[in-house]
Amino acid sequence: MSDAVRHAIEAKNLTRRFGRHVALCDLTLAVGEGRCTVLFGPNGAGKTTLIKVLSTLAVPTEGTALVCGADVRTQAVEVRRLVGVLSHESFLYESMTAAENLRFCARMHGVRISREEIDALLDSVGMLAKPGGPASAAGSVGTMSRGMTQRVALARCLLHDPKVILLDEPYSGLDPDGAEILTRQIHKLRESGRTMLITTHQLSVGLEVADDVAILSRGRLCYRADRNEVRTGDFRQEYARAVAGATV
Amino acid sequence: MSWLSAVLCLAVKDVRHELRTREALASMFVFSLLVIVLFHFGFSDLGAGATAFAPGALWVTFTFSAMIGLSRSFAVEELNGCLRGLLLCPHDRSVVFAGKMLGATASIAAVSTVALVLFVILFNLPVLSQLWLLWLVMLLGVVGIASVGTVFSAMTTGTRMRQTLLPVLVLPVILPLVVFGMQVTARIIDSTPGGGIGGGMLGMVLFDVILTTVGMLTFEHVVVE
Amino acid sequence: MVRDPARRRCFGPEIWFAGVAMHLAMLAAFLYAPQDVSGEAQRIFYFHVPSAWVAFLAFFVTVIASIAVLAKRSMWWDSLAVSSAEIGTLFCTMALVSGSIWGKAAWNVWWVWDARLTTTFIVWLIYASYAVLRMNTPSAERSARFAAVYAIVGFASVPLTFLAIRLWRTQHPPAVVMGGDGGGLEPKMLHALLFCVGAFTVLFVAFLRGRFRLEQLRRATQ
Repeated sequence: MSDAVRHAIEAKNLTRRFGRHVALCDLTLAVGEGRCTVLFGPNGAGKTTLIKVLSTLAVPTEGTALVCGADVRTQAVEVRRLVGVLSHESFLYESMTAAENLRFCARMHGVRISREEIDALLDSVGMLAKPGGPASAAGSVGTMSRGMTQRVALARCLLHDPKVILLDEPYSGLDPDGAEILTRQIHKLRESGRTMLITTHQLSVGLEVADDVAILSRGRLCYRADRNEVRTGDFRQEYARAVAGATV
Repeated sequence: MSWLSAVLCLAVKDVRHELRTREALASMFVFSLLVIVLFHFGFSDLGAGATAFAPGALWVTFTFSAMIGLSRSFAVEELNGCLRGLLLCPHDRSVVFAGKMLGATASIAAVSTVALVLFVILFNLPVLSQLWLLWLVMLLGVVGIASVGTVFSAMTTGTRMRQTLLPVLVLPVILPLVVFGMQVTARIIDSTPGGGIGGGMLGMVLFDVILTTVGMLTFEHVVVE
Repeated sequence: MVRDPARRRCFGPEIWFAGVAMHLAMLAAFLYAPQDVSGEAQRIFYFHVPSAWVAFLAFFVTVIASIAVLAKRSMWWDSLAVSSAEIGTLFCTMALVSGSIWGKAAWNVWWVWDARLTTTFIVWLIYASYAVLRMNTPSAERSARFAAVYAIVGFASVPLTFLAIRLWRTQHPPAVVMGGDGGGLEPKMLHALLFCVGAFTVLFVAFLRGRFRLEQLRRATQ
């Protein structure tokens, strides 16, 4: 791609349907390298489906999706190397500690990581690795709070140094403290130059971290704008319209 | 990271989990003991002694304790969406299949080995010199059950009635393996001269190869939407 | 969506054709075919064998449709798979019941654990498990995928079941040998049998088309 702006994520006419249910309909979306796009939409709009398709957890029916130039259908393994996913599911094993989870994930991704590096990573996401600390990582994941598991999940997602990070409803279930910590993490990731696609239905938080915004409704992209062009009031109206359209 | 190391990493994770929590191992072991006790009381009137019902009892033990082990194999992946976490690794999906299958085989084989030894002892079966052969036959059976069971266990995590549905799905499909296994076991216990177990063992190997291949090919369609 | 009112009828002209074929089949079985040494009860054979044939044919159709479901992720093929499986279950039940009646009438046993009949029973169990799986998977998409995988895996195991029981039977020789176990058939009996197999196949196709259209309508109206 010799275009001025290389797209890290490119979806063209992406459709996902099975029988009569259409999750994504002719979706065309591009996210520039290093940009943070926030995708809003009501429940059932297809946000999770889009994340699944981009992370090769689901197969599109029609259309194409490219992540850093790799096709999700034909180069799925390569796509998985480039992508990190943070979901409302933590992907963590409850019987293992945070460090054990990270070590397992690193091995499965073919990443060599030392004890110190794991500790450093846990520290960087706001978790003190030493026992007895305010956010202790020594216990098994089953004993941790939602906020803590979210932080470990974020560390897990970053283990293989992905170029693109997909966050699917990352704020769900978080208390205000946890949400604040997550927002700080997202800002850090933006500064590191990684491309991000975040789906959420929390307007204020999403608008705060976005470079670009988009609204998905009933599987279709019905709004797309640069953050600078958007006034919060207008955006809320657009969103309400999209939600109303979805419930009709 | 190679395919094989990823598979081993996953299998080791499962075995470690089992050793740590001992959920499945304990239930499987207790179940095996119960079967042994029930068969003793059920068939103790048979004049011929244990050799008559041993093959059937052994294979019922292996099969049903395998159901318990397999059901737990994907239950651990269901929580927190861990299965999806595994599917996000930069490997072919067959890694997840092979890793889970290997892990399940290890747990089930461990319990079945203990059950086999206990059975031989408690029923005074005159097979100590052939115990290694019996163990091999058991292993061939467990591999086949694990291959089919891994695919179906992944399916049933998405359904209602998970634990009752798994045996319903698995048993008709593994029947040939169990039939071959019982035949070979019976012949070993009877110490039939001239062997004659070649055909049965070949059947088991054939089953294992075919069903593992089919399982590996179809597994992707179960876990990827 | 179905627009043409004439096409809303699920059963078309093929059902009349099947009806005629089945009547002719009855004539073939009772009048054309000569009486067997074992008595009139043997005529169930002309019902039992074609039923079993259709049960296996339907399984084969289900498997082909299942492969297409996975390859194309298409609900059309899934409708075909579930229709064929249902019809197959019906014919499989008929095969087992008729086999049992024949056994009782001719040799005074309700059941024989020979390779063919037992394999038919296992096929019935796989059909039943298929139905239970579909019933317990709430999402239509998952139900289609899972059932397709089950059908394919089940199909792979059935020939091995037959082999396993055959091997078992050579070591546990049966007390009663079911007729037609490889023995030659008189030409007229063979003709009658082939005609009945053909008629049952036509009936299967007619039922399949009807059930398929019904399934398509059901999905369209959901």
